[in-house]
Amino acid sequence: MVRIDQKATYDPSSSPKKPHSQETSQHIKTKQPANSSIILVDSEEDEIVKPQRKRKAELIESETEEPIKKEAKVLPKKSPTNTKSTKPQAGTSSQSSQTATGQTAQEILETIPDADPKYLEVDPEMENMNFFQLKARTSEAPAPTGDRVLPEGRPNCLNGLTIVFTGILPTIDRDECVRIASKYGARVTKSISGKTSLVVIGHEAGPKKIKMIKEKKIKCIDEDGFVQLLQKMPADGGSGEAAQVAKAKKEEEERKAIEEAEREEQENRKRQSQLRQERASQPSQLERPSDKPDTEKLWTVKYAPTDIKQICGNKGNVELLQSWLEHWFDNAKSGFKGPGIHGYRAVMISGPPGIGKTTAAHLVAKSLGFDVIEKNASDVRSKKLLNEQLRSSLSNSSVVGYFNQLKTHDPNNRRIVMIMDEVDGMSSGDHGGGAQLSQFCRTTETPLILICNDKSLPKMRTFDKTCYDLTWRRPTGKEMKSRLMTIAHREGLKLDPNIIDQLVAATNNDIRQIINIMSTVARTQKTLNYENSEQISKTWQKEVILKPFDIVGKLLSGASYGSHARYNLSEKINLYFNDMDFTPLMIHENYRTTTPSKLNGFPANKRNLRHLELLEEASNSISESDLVNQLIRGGEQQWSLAPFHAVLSSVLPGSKVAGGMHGRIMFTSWLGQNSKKMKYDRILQDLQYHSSTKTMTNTQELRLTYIPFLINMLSDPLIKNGASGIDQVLELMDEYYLTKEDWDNLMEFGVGPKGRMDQKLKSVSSATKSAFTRKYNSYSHPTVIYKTGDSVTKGSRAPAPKPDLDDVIEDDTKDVPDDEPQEAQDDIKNDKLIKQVKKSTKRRK
Amino acid sequence: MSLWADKYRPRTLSELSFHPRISKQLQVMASSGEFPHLLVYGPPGAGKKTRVLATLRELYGAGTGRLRVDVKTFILPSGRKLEFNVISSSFHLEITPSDMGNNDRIVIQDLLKEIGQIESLDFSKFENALVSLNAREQNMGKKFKVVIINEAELLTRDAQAALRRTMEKYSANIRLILICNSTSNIIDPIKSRTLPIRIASPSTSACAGVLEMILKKEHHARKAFPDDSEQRNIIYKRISDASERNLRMSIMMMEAMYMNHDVVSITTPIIKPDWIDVLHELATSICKDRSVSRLQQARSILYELMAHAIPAKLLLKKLTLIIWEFTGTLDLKNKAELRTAVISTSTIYDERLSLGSKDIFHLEGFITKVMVILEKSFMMD
Repeated sequence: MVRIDQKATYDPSSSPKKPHSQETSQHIKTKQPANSSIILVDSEEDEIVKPQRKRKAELIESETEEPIKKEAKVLPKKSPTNTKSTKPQAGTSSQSSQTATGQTAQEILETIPDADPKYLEVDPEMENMNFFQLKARTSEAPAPTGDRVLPEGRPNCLNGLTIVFTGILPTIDRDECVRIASKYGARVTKSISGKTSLVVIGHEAGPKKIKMIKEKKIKCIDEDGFVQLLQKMPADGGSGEAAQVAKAKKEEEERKAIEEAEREEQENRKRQSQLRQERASQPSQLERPSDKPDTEKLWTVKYAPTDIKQICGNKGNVELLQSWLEHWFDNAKSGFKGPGIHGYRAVMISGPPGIGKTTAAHLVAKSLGFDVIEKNASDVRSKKLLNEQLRSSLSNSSVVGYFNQLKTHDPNNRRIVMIMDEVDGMSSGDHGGGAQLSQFCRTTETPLILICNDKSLPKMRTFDKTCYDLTWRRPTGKEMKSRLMTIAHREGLKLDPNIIDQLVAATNNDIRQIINIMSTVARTQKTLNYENSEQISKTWQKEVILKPFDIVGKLLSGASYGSHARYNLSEKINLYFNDMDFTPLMIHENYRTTTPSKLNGFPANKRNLRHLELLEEASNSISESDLVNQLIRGGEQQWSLAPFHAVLSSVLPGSKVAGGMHGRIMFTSWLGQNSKKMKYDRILQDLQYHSSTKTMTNTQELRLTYIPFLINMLSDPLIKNGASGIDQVLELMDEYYLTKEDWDNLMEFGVGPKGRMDQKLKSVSSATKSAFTRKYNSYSHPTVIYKTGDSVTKGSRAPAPKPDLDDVIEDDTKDVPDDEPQEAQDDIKNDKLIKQVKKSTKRRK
Repeated sequence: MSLWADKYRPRTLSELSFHPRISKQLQVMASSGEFPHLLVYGPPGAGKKTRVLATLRELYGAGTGRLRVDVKTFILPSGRKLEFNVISSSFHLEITPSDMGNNDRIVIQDLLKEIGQIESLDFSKFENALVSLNAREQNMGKKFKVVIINEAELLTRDAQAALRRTMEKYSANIRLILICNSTSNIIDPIKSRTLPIRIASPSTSACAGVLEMILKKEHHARKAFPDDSEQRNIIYKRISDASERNLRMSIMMMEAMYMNHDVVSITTPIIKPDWIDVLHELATSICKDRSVSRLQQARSILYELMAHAIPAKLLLKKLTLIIWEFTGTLDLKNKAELRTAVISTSTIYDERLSLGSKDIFHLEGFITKVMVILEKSFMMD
């Protein structure tokens, strides 16, 4: 009970922005601003709107936000990065009539005509289509011509609008529209919801989306409407409520980032001067690496979080961790019977690398005044060492705590926390470490934080029951935004807030990489906006190596070719180089499963011929590419031909047949077929070796003439006569020196529906089959193959007739009478060996 | 009970029924004591190997029939061990270097040199001392061993180059008989060092003669076939046509007919090897249904055939021939152009099969092209 109460009261205290709980945690003092009238407004706001909610909520058009809006409207002049004041008004010449800023988005939207109702008609055919069919259909549809150039809108003119694009627009590529819309500050979503302000619709729109539009009665415009919208909307999204809220929020964010930056700057200056003073007083002291001036540090180090609230993302987890650590000793007294995390002595933090798990653990410990003992993969963590080292330290009290205790006279102040980093890195060298560690988790007298990347590994299972599990997620763009803005401001880099999401997507939510990108850009440029961000994220995106399926998907897609191709030739060649072994094979496997977009507009009676012609051109090119491949990988090793091979094997065939795929992309079957061929070649060779003295022919002729007839001769008696046919079959087998294994192999050589034997042999009763095997094993069969040259290694087995290696199993049974004396010898030998082993073990004992 | 094809294989040159001139020449060569290196070539089932073995018998006597298979082990420079089977009697060796793929040069270098450096003891001398001198005189001086090299056209260039000097240097101790289907892959230096002998397929009548001879000996089977020799001849002709005058195939087909039918008449269907049936079906379906889905089906059939060790080149050849036949039956204006186009396509892809490594690419290219050619002609008509 007590604990729950404590949690309830302390939980909000860990939220850094609540002013009334300052006294409970000392670190929050640092956050309190020094002096500024703006900041006072800030803290008032915070009481009205919770910061977390604000981060998540996109467009809250509630009454409570009205006051912020008004206050914020007063502020913008103080913000130096305000886009409105810095950017020149663009495109003013073309539109003069409707530039009044008093207009709201709603009013303007009403002036734009609704989309042609034909777009909203659902083709009944499409209703029952699955995903792939729909996808194929959309890619069959005529691609955007790309003739139209979108007009320049006013800066942030789509502010506050949530737009959904669906279907194929007649002239502009959808991706381009999305890019432009988000450039002007609109929020582009993929699915329609209540918050959607408008839908831009093209033909072949998804049936579900159309249904949603009709249900929710959402404003629906076509491409022309979108262009009009761009022209008509005033800067910053007009005076509509939503636009104002969005604008205010944005400005608010910027303002905060600047504040934060200024505050950090100040702190930093303070620290530097302190350092200088210290050094002046103690000149003999060695310079520590952490004391180096910031200019020599990497940005990622320079701006590493030094405070809990600087950690991007996982706020809830951090708070939970903090609350757990804070109450750990209270919980310990009551024997860990609390709910949730409070019932555990240890916590397991898991998540992908580089998102600040270790940093968070350290910062939490630091904020609560704990001393940290850290063990990571660089330490040996075997069972024995863990026992020796941890056990002693787990009941220790901290030196810092000891001195604090002297000062505060608080007997409970034995504050130490153990962080076991990289637990999944416990390797075979750390024998028994995992189990031992999970034992400690049950009994520890010190808070224990374990950190790992992947808790789903089997070796991490032992921790499932002993630790509370905290999963760290990658921080989202929104969570990183303010931090990144702060950094940008401190470095004097102009960062357009709208592009952060783009950077996040390009780097797969890697904040470290974004900071690295920024630091690289800052060397040469002073702004990071739409124009160069695209190029930048493209260069960073290239680091990802595509999988063969994705490569083929792109190479066989209609959008990759033609005058408005998504990729130019060299980009397509580069696609091939993502995986130059598999791309040609996968193209070959899948090039026939498309509906080429080149067929569009062909009359139905000529379609088949045209399709065949396209396939012929593709297959011809693929066939030629094999010759080039032979030059590359054969004896000549002409690797400079690789780009040529790329064109012949992948790009050219792709250009012919590109279009909608009929089904999923298949994995190449060539590999499987090739290894099957190798297997049958080997079997055939064995058959040839066994029978060659009789057939007097070569492997190929054996395959082509003998095998089809032999199959019949060797199976028909069994199928027709059952057990009485066995003798006939065995006689023929002996005549051709074939073994039972050869018989089995032979039966696999049938081809075609008539030739395949598996079905036919099912009619042979299992009694006959086993009688056949028994009979075969009951007497010895003639063999022709003599192994020479192996006499040295297999000395004991002298020149006894010994067939090919493959028949070893059969031989052991059938050669029993001949080999008896030798086998007896072998037995004795074996016995001797066994005895020797026994002796030696005895000796050891 | 062995298959008829093996049971009635002639053992001596005099037993051979067709190509009497070649048999005579070989006989003369064998008895003269001046036996050159031979290059025996011709289509499959024409009796190349049979003739060669009969010649050996002529050279050395019946001892050549006692065969055994030895497994020789070679160690590559890389340390890999290779096993190689050698069929031998005390007078000759038979090797198939192409079994070793690209390592055939090592076989040629090591094995042939090894044999070539050892002079064979002439046991006949001792035997002759005991038996009659005159009777075995012809065997005197046969100091050489004969090495038969099968599938000589599949020898790599390296192996052939290794062969050319060996043939001269060790000619005192070994004679080579190269057996192949076509000499086009044999390098000129080797051609010039050998006596080429072409064994053509037997004529239809020669083929019928052999089949008739076998039936005469197989009394039981004889009863299943019609008594009338005219009717029998019709059956023989059908068989030899179906087998493309491959004698081995003919005999097999006849035996299969007898095995499957108690009474064989002129209308009894000929049992062809399963792969030929599959190919026939494939080729006609390509000609009749020229569509993308058919292409897709063709791929799986081709894959199945190739996986089951049917050579891609043969597939291309047979497909071309079947399509050739099919187009002959068509009634189109531009039939002649169409047929030439098919053949020229076939030759292009045949070359690509030789140069490339992924057979399916080329076979599919061929099939697609043929479909386009046919579809175009039909559209124009």
